Amino acid sequence: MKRLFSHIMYYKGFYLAGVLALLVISFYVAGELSMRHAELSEQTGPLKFLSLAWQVEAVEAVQEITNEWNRQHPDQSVEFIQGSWNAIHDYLITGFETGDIPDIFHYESAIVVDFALRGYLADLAPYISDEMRNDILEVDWASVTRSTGEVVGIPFINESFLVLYNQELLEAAGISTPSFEEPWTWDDLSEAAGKLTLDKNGDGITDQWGIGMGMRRSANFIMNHSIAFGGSFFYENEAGQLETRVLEPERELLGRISDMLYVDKTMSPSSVGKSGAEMIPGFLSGQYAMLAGIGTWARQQVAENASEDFRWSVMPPVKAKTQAMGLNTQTLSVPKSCTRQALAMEFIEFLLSSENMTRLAASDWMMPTRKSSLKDPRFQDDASGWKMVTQSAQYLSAGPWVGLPGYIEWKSRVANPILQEYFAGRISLDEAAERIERESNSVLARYQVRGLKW
Amino acid sequence: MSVTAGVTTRPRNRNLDQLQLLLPILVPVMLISLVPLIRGIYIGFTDYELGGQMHFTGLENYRIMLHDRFFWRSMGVGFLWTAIVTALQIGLGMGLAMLLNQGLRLTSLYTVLMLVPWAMPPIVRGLIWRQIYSPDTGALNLILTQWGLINEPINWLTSFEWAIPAIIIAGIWGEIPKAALFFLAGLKTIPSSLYEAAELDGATSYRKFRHITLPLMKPIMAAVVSLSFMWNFNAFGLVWILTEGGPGGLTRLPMLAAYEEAFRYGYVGYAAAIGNVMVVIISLFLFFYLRVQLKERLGE
Repeated sequence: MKRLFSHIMYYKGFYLAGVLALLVISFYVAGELSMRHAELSEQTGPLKFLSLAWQVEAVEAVQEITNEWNRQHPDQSVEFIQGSWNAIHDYLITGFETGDIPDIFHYESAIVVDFALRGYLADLAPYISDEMRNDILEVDWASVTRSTGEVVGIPFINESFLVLYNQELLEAAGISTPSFEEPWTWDDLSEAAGKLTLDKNGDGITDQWGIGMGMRRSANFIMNHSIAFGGSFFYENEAGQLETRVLEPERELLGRISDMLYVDKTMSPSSVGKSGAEMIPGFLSGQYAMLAGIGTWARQQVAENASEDFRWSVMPPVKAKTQAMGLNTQTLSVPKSCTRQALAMEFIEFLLSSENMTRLAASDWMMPTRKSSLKDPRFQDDASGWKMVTQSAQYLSAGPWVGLPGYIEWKSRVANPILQEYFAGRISLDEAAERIERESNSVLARYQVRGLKW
Repeated sequence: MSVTAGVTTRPRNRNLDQLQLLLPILVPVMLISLVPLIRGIYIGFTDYELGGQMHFTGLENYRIMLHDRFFWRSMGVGFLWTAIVTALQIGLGMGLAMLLNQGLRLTSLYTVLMLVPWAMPPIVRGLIWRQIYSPDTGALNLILTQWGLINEPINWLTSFEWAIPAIIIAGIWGEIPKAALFFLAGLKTIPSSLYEAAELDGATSYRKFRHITLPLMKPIMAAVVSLSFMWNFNAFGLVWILTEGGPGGLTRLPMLAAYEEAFRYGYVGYAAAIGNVMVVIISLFLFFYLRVQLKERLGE
């Protein structure tokens, strides 16, 4: 033993060199092997499909349809990956940069557009069947189609904002509810909110508010609804470049909401700083008679958590100059680095066949994008506002900012923070408008330098 | 390398021998730690954007930074956060350590309890505090309403008045144990004979603290201040969970700003540049702070 030790000590340089060489070689071999393996599985392994469905029924529906595909295509199986809306962005970005990315992923049009501008996404246009192309609403295609005709995602779910109302409280205040044929204007909404704001026990503290609305990140809501006032936020200047302007049409909605909060005092102050989902309990407990700025999915939560005698309904889009509403779509996209794009698209066609899309949208309490799906009786039911949601689809429109390079950064760096300050009552409308214009243009300039075109 | 009988008599190069022994450790460290570090520093001098190519641009990122309002605002809140959290953490940690050093009953139980917040990852601390601050179901609003101090629940984390105090309190809570543990170890090394001698001379508790405890704790305090400054300036998880930098970017600490630049907006090069600036700031602080400390000690 002692001799062995002294032997090692004597030749230690030699042994060390050997160990190091072995280390380097094994690193190299391991790396090479895993590369080969990755390449091989890219060609023959299962396609990876990342889904963001999260409501229990929706997850089940996606998994069942994926299993069905796997039964029918044993040689071209698809591996289901459960993603989460909280982590998806970092996950995809690191995936794009390292090349380890699912072959099909679920996300939303506004961000997919940004990915496409960075050159991450495959053009799906050549693979889309005529049947699908003609069945999905034009406005939904508009949310993902470049001016070159490139399609960067298949829109399968419409996201828009709703106003829910507590039927009992409206009736108690003697307010007749709006119908699809006779929608409310914003004036009607303000007036109703006034009638519904009550101090029931006379202690000087309001205990029922007319309206509540989660305004933690209000840019989406403001942008999508400003269209109805003729607002656009982005205008082309003489040099042919887009510029942000907050003019009368853009200001009107901002002013109306601020008035409800601070002048009429008909909007619950807890709206400021909360997300839409955080507002649902207050609506169920009658703290506010109307809940605005909430996604269609929220109806599932309301229906599930409301007590049996809680009567609620969905309002038609509130009318300004028009009832137009900007939309966002949930999409399925394929990365450019995917080596089996045609097969990936084949799976998407299967997952989003008329029948399957109906199932996905219904289980997620959202609006499908296929005309044939919208006709399904499930979406024509008066219960839980389904019919109103489906009818409202005709008012959806793609905002003028779709495909605007830098829109995502603009929304999160400029619009949301300034609107937070504005709705918290810390700055005036003039200040907010002036700051949005000034800060926007410095953000947009960076993108214009690069000359990106949608 | 030739291995002959003559080798036994060769003049031994001690440094080389040591290097040989260290090599097996150095190689993995270089591969896993140093290479990414240097690459990270380098990216800070490029225009690397997500989806784009990487070009060396020299000091361009830093020139942009000079006029970047978002960057300066986040540095401002970063310093405010670091200064307050570090100072209070030192003060309260010292107090807690002295309390634990009194030889009260169940001291070991208290020590373990004290360590609990530190044992949690910042993300978990964040989730706990988010519960406490929750406007509808949070304990804080409940208590304050019951005591009649507020009429309406306050949305602490999204209110412009309260967001900064709220994150600072959550930050201190998690950092006190770290300081207290160091101080407790330090206090244990002070011989009790010093206090006994002072008591014979009729020194008050304050004078004992001022003239015995404090001077003897100085080296440890220097270590804790240095480490805490680094940790707090680089804080991310806790504040990200609590506010994501909001409302209106009010609590966007430098690390959050760097994260947003890279992962939200895709400016990876610029984000790495912010990281580089943070390293320089921390190094400068440590250099001057430790130099002052060292001079003081040499002067004594």
